[in-house]
Amino acid sequence: MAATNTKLDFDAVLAETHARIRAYIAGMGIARHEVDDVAQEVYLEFYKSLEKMPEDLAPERWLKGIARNLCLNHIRRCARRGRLHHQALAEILARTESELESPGRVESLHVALDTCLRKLPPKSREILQLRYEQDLPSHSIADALGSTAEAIRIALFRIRNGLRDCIANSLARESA
Amino acid sequence: MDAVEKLIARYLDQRESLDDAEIAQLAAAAGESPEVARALKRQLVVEELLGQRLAVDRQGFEAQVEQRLHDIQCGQRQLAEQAAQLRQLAESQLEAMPGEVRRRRRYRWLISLAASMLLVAGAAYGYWNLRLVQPLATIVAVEGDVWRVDADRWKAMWASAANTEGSILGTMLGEVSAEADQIAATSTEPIMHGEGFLVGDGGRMQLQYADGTRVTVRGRTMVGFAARGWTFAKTVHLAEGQVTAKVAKQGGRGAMEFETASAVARVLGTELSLRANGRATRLDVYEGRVQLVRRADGKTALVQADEVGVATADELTVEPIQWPLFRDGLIARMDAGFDARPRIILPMQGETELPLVAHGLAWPGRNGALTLAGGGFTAEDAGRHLVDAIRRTRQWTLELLLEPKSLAVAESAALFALQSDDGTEALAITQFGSSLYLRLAGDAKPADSDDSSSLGRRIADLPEVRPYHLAIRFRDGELVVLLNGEQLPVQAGVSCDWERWSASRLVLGSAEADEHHWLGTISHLAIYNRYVVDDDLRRQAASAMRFFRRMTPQRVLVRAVPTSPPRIARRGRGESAPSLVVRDFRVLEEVVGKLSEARFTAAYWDVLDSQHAALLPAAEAERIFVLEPLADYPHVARQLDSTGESASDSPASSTAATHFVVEWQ
Repeated sequence: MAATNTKLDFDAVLAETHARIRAYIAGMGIARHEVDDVAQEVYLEFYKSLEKMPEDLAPERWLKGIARNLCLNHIRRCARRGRLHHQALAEILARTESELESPGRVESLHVALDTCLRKLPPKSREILQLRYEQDLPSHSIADALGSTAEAIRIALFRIRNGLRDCIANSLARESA
Repeated sequence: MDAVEKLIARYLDQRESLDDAEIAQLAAAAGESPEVARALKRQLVVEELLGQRLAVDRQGFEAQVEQRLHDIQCGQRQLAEQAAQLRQLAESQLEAMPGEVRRRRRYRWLISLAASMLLVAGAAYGYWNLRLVQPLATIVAVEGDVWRVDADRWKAMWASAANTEGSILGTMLGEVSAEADQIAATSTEPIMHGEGFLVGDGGRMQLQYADGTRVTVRGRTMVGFAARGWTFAKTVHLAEGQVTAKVAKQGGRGAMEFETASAVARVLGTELSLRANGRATRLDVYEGRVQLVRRADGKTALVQADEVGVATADELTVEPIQWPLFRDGLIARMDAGFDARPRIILPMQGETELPLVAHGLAWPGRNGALTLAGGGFTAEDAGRHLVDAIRRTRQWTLELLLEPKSLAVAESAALFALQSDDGTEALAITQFGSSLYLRLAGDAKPADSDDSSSLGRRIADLPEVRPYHLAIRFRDGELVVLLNGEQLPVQAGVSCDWERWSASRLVLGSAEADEHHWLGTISHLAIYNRYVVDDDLRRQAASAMRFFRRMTPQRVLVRAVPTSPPRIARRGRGESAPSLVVRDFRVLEEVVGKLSEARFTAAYWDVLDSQHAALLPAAEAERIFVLEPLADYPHVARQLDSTGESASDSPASSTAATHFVVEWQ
């Protein structure tokens, strides 16, 4: 019975937190294609250590603690070049707060993102689709759109900034 | 954009593109300025959120974690069981040699320790090799000649197929079938890692994985099956031929991969068909999304439902699937005429096109449907070709996607017929009331039928006004009807007089001489001279429905009740810029209300103010006008004039100077 309850709690925590924990891992500089692998390890560690977690601690904080350690381990293990710099950068990023990581409902985050995506002009949506749906690097997107890799990188940078502002405003409106 | 921002943009794009000095520069900038750190962090977090939302292979994270937990728990159980078995075995052997036991008892703890260490190493090795001893899947059906080849043989065949441009299937089939020790595959047998199968002409093999994933291997196909990596992800090697698959959600095991010589299709859960030869791979997706990767350069394309992806050395393209999906035995299909030239295409006559000529109040819409509002379409000479093709096989399957306008048809009205010049029919489908009837040359009405003899045989009842996929097939006196993919009771003892089977034309809607008209739309038609099986008909029904919905999104998707009359203001050219200019349309319906479940894509037809994208997001649209294009059919506009319909909304040609402005409230 106890095991069942643990499992139920775990499922609920997983569903509620995974989007932000994955964002937290990405926010430490883990490459996009490695985020889910690290995140899976985080949840496996969390599962194993459920009984050790202090009762008064929010699961998300516990998870972020695990994530931070695993990310640093991952960078130590995987960075082929500039390991120390990558590590230093990860430490700085771990200390830096992002508005989008603050606890809240995952659905709100996704709804806000969807709403903001819809507001984008078609060209921006096309670039995002090529980048994130089709996983194309900037030079391939540039080939497809008759542009340059540099221009695509700049466009992506600006689109992401715009989306960040839009999502943050949307979440702020909701919480107000 | 300053230098640090450019560095961040490059870091986000590809970490490896930054050298040591640049990484150091970025780290230093982030360390010195919290603003830079925040900017970088924001970029990374938004990038991750976009990846979670849009990337095809990142949708099942929770399932992946669950699977990992499950695997760990299973692994621990297996290790414990294996340890117990080995301990039991060791003890029983020691007990069998009592003299030795006394001498070795003192060293038993040492033996136990060594055994444990061996066990751990062995378990790891064993786990890796589980794929060699655990069945991957089970064969559930075999038809015709299907030959099994072992892993070594298959490896050589796969390599040979990958390095040969032409077909090697014939040679391989010849070799394998001639060997004395070849093994014919039979159902209920397991499939092991690395094994290959050769399916002969007209053969078929179906297999099922433990998670419910089903793969069907069609005739003239060489295919192998394997497990990939530590998670034993499913892999299918298609050297040549065709497989179709319905793939269950793959969760943490990783995508199921279909590899060919030229491409890899990565699937997380969907329905697809894959065909390959040495040079090209064709991927048809019926449900979900599949990533198609060209092996030569790693270039990828996302193939979605009702799309076909083709990978060759020169191209990687994605296009809509043409309906019908299945072409074997297809003797006629309709192209409803996006270019206002509807026609019947006869694939067995070298894709001969016969025009569908309109008469009465009938016209092709640019949404790919024929509108029958008191008339019909006739393809002269099509009947003759079709009747000849069907008489050869004495079996047929007919598919129609139709939407009746009424369920209270007072007089029997024909919606499809193969008809002779004198008006006699080989085959006709009519509607009376809310029921559909079939008339077949030589068929006597059923003994227990209460229908009027002129109506023919009742085949289906339509419960409401909406689109229906109707499939009818006939063979050996057995008539099977599927409505929207659901099979209705089979009617046996149906007679067909093949001697009286003659026709000259194909008619959709009423013939010119008919007094009663069927009202509605017909958007798809396919006729086969073979018995198409239920699964294929269901797939075609789903595909046709999806296509229909995509082409007429407003009427199908929007559920709202009109609350006030349309507000359409007529203005001449040159007046103030309207929000939306419409011409060559008539207003069918106006919808007002909450439209949160719909996206306004009226511009799909590519004629509204040259817009291609959705005009308004759902939340902002309060009012939608359902518009019907009249194309270049002046006779329709004239007849609308005479019937008193809103002809003023339907100028006679595209050059008319009248514009309409749809005002958004």
